[in-house]
This record gives sequence, C-alpha cells and structure tokens, in this order.
Amino acid sequence: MRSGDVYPRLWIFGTLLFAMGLRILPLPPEWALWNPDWVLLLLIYWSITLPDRVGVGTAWLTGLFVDALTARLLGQQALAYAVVVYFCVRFHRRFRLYPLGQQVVTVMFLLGFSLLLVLWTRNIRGEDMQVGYWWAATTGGLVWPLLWSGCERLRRSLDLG
Amino acid sequence: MVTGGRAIKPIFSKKPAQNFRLLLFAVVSLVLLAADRRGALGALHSGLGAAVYPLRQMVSTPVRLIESLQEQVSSYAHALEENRRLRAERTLLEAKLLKVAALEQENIRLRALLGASIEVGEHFLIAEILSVNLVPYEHLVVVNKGARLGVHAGQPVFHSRGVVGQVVRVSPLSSEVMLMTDPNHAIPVQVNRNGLRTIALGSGKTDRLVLPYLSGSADIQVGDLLVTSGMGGVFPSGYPVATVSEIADAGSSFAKVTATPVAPLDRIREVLLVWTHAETGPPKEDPTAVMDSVGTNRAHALR
Repeated sequence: MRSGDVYPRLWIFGTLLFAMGLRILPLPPEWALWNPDWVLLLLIYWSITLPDRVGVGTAWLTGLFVDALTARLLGQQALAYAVVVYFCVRFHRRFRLYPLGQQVVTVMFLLGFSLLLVLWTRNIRGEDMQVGYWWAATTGGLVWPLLWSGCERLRRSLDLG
Repeated sequence: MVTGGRAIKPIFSKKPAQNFRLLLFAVVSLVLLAADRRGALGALHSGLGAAVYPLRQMVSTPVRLIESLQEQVSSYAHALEENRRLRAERTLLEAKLLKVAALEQENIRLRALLGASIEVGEHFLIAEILSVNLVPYEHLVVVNKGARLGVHAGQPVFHSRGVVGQVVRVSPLSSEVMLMTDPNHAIPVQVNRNGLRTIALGSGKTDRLVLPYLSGSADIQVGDLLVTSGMGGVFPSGYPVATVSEIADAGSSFAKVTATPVAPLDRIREVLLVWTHAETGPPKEDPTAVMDSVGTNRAHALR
C-alpha cells in the first residue's frame, strides 16, 4: 500500500467505526426503532464521493463486522451493504448532481432496500412484522443533509481526494 | 489508480470489476448465511465477536459510568433507607435459607431411599450486561463473560428472581444472551400449583410471554406461578419463569394465556450464568465464581 493511501483510509475507517458505535447506542426501545443505519449512510456517502476507495468489497467487509456487532446471522448486513454500495458506485455521478430533496428520497429508498434485503434473509414470522421496522429508513433520509454537509466539510478540510 | 486523489480517472474502467465483485460477494454471503443457520460458523463468530467486543465496551462504558454517577449522587437518606431495607431483607432470606438447607438434606435422603441418584446443586457465575442495543424487535443482550470462563452456547441464564434466557453465542470475552421474551425463544414450563406442563413462547415485548398450547379447559388461573419444568434439558427444573397475567377465550378449544416474566427483563444489569450439575462449571480460581450447593429449588424457596 502506498503511503498516500493510508491517510484517507484511516479517516474512512474512523468514521465507519464511529457509525458502528452509534448503531448499538443503548437508546430506549421506542427510540431505537428510529435509529437509522449510520454505517450504511456513511458507506453511501463515501462510495459516492470516493468510489475508487470505497466499493463493494469494503461494504461487504464492513457489513460482516456489523453482523457480528449486532448478533445477526453472518452475511445478512454484508449482502445488503454490498448491493446498496454497488448501486451507489454505479450511479455516483448522477447522484452527485441530484438536488438535496431528491438525494434525501434516494437515500431513504436505499436504506429501505437494505432493510428489505435483511428482512428477506431473516427467518422472521409474519405476525412480528410491524410498520416500525421501516421507520429507521425515514430518519436515515432525514439526517442525510446534515451528514452530507458534515462529511463534505471533513473531506474538504482533510483533502481526502 | 494514478498517483494522488485529484488525477483524472478513467470513466469505464471499474464497471466490470464491480459487477463481478458484487456477484462474488453475494454468493459468499448466501453461503455464509446457509452455514450460519446450520450453526457451522462457531469459530468465525467467536473471532468476530472478539473483534467487536472493544467497540461494544466503548459504547457501554460511558453509559454505565453515568449510571453509576447517578447512583453515587443519590441522596444519603435514600442510601440509608435502602441499606436498612436490604438488611431486613437479608435477615429474612437467611432465615429462609436455613430451612432450605434442611429441606435439601431431607430431599437427598429421600431420593437415596428411592434409589434415584439425582445430584442437586448448580454453579453460578455473575455476569454484567453491557449497555448496548443490538437489534430492535430481537431481545438479545451482551454479557461480559465468555468462553474463556467456560461459558457455552445453550447455557441457561438467570436473575436472582427468575429465569432470564439462554446463551446463544460465545466469544472469548463476551457472550450473547437471548432473553426468553424474544419471538424466537420457547421455554418448557409447568404450573407450580398443579404441575400442568406447557411451553411459553416469547412475544417480542419484555413484559409478556404467551402460552398458546393450552386447551380451554386447562386448570390454569390468573396469578399462577410458572416454573421451569426441566423438559428439553436446557433449563434445570423448578426455577420461577413468569406469573399468569391474563386468560382470554377460556371457553374455546384453545385458551389465550399470557404471562408476565418474574425477572424485570428490561431493567436487569447483572445476570447469573448457570452450570447444571452434569457439567463441570466455571474455573474454581475465578473470584467472581459463586459456588452454590443450596440446590435446584433455591430461587423458588426464596420467594
């Protein structure tokens, strides 16, 4: 690995680690439903802004750790993250041109898609399904503008390419 | 790519590679999922669990710290009052234990007479629950004792008042415990009053268990204590699980019975990991290991 690679990688790794911490924050149960998938939000951000560094592989590996972290079957989040990040990398140019409102809707859709994939791989009984399952996608979309501007500032000030 | 981040990148170079990678990772994920569902990934889980343990601790520690600070600044009067209450409670419990010891001896003698060689007594290990939230809708908690102390999957987990759940996964320093209110959990129970056996399922709510396999004419009342029946081999028999809180449709062929867990599952911080008599138990030199020879009916008798 070249020395120029290490610096952005560290930052990407650091933000992802922080997001994992947010993911398992001990919120009261009724709030926890609204806690968005911070890890995926950051993966979306990094894969759109730095598609050459954060791709399907990074997403999959991150997902594997999130699976272990949240005590799921190994491969659930990994698969969902890999698929979502694939679309992000594929359409990153188009996404960057979207106005903010459209970005929010797209991010909600991506988070919802990830939830759907996890649901599909999870052997959950029908009667346990509730509307609340999808709420995290809504809040995730709503925090996107904040996350976008925060990360842009971080990226610019650190000159991460 | 080219040196530095700012250089012009070729537009179409990545596309086939990404397609191929997605396919590869999707296949690997599906293989992992299938293997994991069959429980074939114990070592991988253990390794990953050890890797994420520091992060879990990092999230949990500040929360715990704040909680303990709150406890410390709680008023002197409150502490005094609590101290007095606890002392009274201890006296009462010790008095009850005296009787339990006598009953245990009698039980052993009677069993010896019957020729049944059932060894009474289990080993306990106190573990602390980490303050992390894994997945909403699934009642999983992380405790800070793991395979290094002999914890293993399928091990029953208790609270001083009653059953909490069972260990589902272990890593060297921590383990994941499924609460009995998780929708995927079932526990064989019997009504303490008359020995009626059934199965209590998790409902997804921390204050509710459901008992769907009882006929409408079954002899069960609101307020009945449900204890572990010992069937299934995971939980030792005779520990309190829940009290019956509601019976609906008593006239129809299947009654809808719900029960409230005896242990306050949403508020507990410490749990007891249990080794039943057939197993070896935690290493003896560990200072937190509590050897207990009081017997299977201990928690029950304390009530």
